Amino acid sequence: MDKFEPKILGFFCNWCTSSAADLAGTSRLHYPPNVRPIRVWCSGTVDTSYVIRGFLEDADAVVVGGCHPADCHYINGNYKARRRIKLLKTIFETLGLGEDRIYLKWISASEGVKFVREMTKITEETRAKGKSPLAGRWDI
Amino acid sequence: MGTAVIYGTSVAALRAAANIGKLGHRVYIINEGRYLGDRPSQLLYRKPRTICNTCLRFVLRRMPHVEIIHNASITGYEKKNGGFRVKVHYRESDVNERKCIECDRCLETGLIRAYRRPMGGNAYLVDWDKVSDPSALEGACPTGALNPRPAEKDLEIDAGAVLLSPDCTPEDDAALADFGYGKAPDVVKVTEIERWFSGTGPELEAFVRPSDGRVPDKVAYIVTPGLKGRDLSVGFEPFVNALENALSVKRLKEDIEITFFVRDLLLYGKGQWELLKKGLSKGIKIKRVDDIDVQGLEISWDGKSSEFDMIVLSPSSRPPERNRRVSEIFGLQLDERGYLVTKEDEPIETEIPGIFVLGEAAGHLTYIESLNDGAAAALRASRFLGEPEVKGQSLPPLLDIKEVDEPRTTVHLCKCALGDLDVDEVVRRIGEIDTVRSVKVSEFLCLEEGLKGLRETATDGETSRIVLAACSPWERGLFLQNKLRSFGFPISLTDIAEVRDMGVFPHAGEPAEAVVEKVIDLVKLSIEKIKFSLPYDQPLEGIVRRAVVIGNCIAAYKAALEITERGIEVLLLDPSEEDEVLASSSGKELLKAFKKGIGEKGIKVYKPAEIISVDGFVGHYRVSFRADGEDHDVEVGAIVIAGAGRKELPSELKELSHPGMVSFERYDGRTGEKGVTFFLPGVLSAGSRSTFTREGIGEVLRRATELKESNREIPVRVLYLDTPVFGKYADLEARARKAGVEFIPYWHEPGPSFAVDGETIKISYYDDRTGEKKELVTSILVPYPVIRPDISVSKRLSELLGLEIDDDGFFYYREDPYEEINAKLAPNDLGTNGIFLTGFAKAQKDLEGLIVDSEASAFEASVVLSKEKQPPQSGWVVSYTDFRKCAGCGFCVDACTYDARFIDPERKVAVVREILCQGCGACEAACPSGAAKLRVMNAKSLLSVVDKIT
Repeated sequence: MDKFEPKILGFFCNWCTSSAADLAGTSRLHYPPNVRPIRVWCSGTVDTSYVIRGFLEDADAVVVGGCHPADCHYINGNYKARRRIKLLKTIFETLGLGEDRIYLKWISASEGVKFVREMTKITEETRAKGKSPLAGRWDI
Repeated sequence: MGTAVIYGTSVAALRAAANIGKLGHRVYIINEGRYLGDRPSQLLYRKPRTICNTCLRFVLRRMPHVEIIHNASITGYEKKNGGFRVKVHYRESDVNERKCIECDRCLETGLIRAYRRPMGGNAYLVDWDKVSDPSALEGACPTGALNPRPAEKDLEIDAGAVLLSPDCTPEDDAALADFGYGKAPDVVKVTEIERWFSGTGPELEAFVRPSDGRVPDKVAYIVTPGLKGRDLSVGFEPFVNALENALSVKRLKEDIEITFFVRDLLLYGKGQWELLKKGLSKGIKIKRVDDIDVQGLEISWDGKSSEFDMIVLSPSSRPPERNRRVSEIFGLQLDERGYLVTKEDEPIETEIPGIFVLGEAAGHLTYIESLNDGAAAALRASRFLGEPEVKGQSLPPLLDIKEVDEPRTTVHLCKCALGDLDVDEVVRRIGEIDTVRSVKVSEFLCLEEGLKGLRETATDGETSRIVLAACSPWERGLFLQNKLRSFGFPISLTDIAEVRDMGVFPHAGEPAEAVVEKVIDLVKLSIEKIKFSLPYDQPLEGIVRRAVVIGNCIAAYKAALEITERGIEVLLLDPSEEDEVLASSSGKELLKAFKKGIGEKGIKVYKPAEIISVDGFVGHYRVSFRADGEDHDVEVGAIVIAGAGRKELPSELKELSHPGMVSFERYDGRTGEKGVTFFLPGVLSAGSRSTFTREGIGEVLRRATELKESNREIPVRVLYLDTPVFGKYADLEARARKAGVEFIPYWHEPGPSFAVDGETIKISYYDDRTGEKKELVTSILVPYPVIRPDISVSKRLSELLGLEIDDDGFFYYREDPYEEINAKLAPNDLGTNGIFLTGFAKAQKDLEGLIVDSEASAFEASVVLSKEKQPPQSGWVVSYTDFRKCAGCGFCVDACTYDARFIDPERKVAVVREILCQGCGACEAACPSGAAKLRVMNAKSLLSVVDKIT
């Protein structure tokens, strides 16, 4: 049987994490292709509804990537993301929906290597967890 | 003569280039290296890891009229037609950077090496040793960027101004053998550690001993200036750099024991004392030593010795080697250290009008001083450059993009981005996506043929969305989007699918199907992202071309003059009844000259002016103030705050009353049996961060030396905490020590105390080296006065403008060069809200510092006020409100970091001030009713992206 290939959704801020992804590319670093990177302006604009919708629509993990604390291009957008994701994780945990499939990562524009490492790790972890049970569960 | 020639790639040089380029003048940067960043410079002494070349490359790349000539040097010059004819010799670059698209195909020849820079792209160089026949290189580059036969060439440039800023020369590795470098493998340079961390960020796995790969438990940092016969004055903030590095090591593993060996702290920049305190609180030990001895990994000092696991050196640097050649060519003086000499009391300026010396070529400056040097030099040079050659590109009006039912997308696919993937397969798959009306393939989208295709699509009248399946925005993407705009196509209806940098490059070796799958998803998500976007251009807002300068610092007068010089009306409000802040007595003459200039230009000066209110935002501030018994009300586009200050005695002495205490200004040379003690109150005096200037220290050193030289028999002492006397002030210190002036360093916690002891004054303090409590008795005590910000003025301004001030009353700003704002090379700008800080408003600076700083901020304010209409910083990405949905709850107002939203009191809805909006989208996420939206990439499109690709 084929190995399970998870689908991972990434919301990466324009200035840090997306730039790190670019850097990983231009430096010809290597990571698994499972992550679908969506460039957003700021991690602070990522609404929890995008994350939830992602899970319902078949994503096996969702990663939000922003600038390091105190380093946000938009001064404090990453703190907004942090609060929001923390809250969402708590809700997921309480309802037993698998909060460990939600990731929040601070990866700066120079951290191409870190980007690669995190993406590889997240892909492996998700592969081990298997298919997300939330896919298509519009009933919950 | 609209051209400027800049010699060198120092930070000052690059900032000057960016600023002169911004004004629209042609600029040639003469780089001795093979690529930008090849030469060591002050940049490398800062943390190479966090200095973001991306921004800098981006700034320069956006300005095609700024040309960098690599492998080049200036060989001569002559005066010609009121300007200069500069002779340049260079060898053509192996690779034309403007043509290179970093596709890596040339690497297949095995004759080319790619230098993967930690930040911002790659540099490619031919490995000439391997090339026996240059024709092997022909055809290796698909874009013709590779030059198989680079020729030696001579060039003559007619320039109106020449800016000289050769890069500094690093300390020889051989000389560092004094500290065991090169002898023991575990003696390393701090810049090496930064390189280990480069690309990954600090990681414990990277912080290991070269000899055995073990994480060290006990590390010594040696700051070399001042030790082993080294000049104390040459180094780019070596202590601060090492401290920053040590702190990042501490963050990795708290129990690593770290000890510093330093001659003097040399803390001068703002916030550097806080850094030291942070280091101390993390358990970093600081040993101030006169000298040390290193044998292997054992360090001996003051009769003690200790063995370490690893030794980290923070070396000094030497003046630029090129300075000598430059001095010969231009007939400029060198000082005894080897720095180019500027005009007496005139930083940057040389004896030849139109030729300037800046940055690390002129002496050791702090990073911020170098940046300011660059901006000030740009301003000075621009006076010699006449009318700008390059006028802003005028864009055609937007095409009328008609939409029938749903978007009709044309996808432009760049083959360069696809690597080895099956192009036909990708084209077929993209063609199957909803809304795609056609897929066009170009060999290289960014070259002529590709651009022609883009123009056709933009103007075909059918296409309503364009997706560029190519590299990344910073690479060529934004260039392509701007091209589309220049054809009249709205950028808001375009997107870049990063199939190369996020799809193909990082997944080499993966099964082709998986990569194709990802590429298709990347294109899909781009299509969805702009599906619901509206045709939209960047908004422009009119601004009031008038500025107000507030302050009683000499920088206020200078800034007012400079802004007026650029044709912008200025008002000068001096909020203080006190004398002007001058930094030192030598500023008096200059101030007189500035005041005369202000009179001649007819600049209105109000002193004292009481600021009553400030309302508005960039381009439209309304300032109300009271002066001469009348109320005034003025509309301005920008506000420059230069700060207000007053002189006072160090707080430790406020209670002391003794005839032997004479303030420095009144000191008449009197002496006594127990000697004279000059008291430099120290940067931490009474909780204060910086209370005197380097120039002030210079004055004290001069005075103490004279006194000692004429009164050999009595003791002359300087009681001090730190003497940040790098640069030209270091000589004064050396002279004072030689004359026999005693230097008594005290530790700051607790600081010294003073008591009357009959005829004399008793001083108790903790010895800085040993920590012992000591006492000394002096007949005369001469405290150097501190100039403090006038806290009431600072408070008032901070309340009115919503700016933060520190405990001293200095305005908070990001001087930390590791911060992004500096990577963008604009340390005076508070994020383009039209408020600029300068001079004494920010920190203590010496006279040169105040003048240079005032010019730098005058430049930035002038740029903001230079056009009658300005776009927001974020260009076309701004938010708006759907008034039908807005409940007026104000959540978005709270979420906005930039005050770009407010509730209209009449309509009770949230309104956007577009010029302030930075396009982050925080309002959108905060809005409970779905009324706050970005014009591009809003919630609706993102949800649709999620739907389509999962």
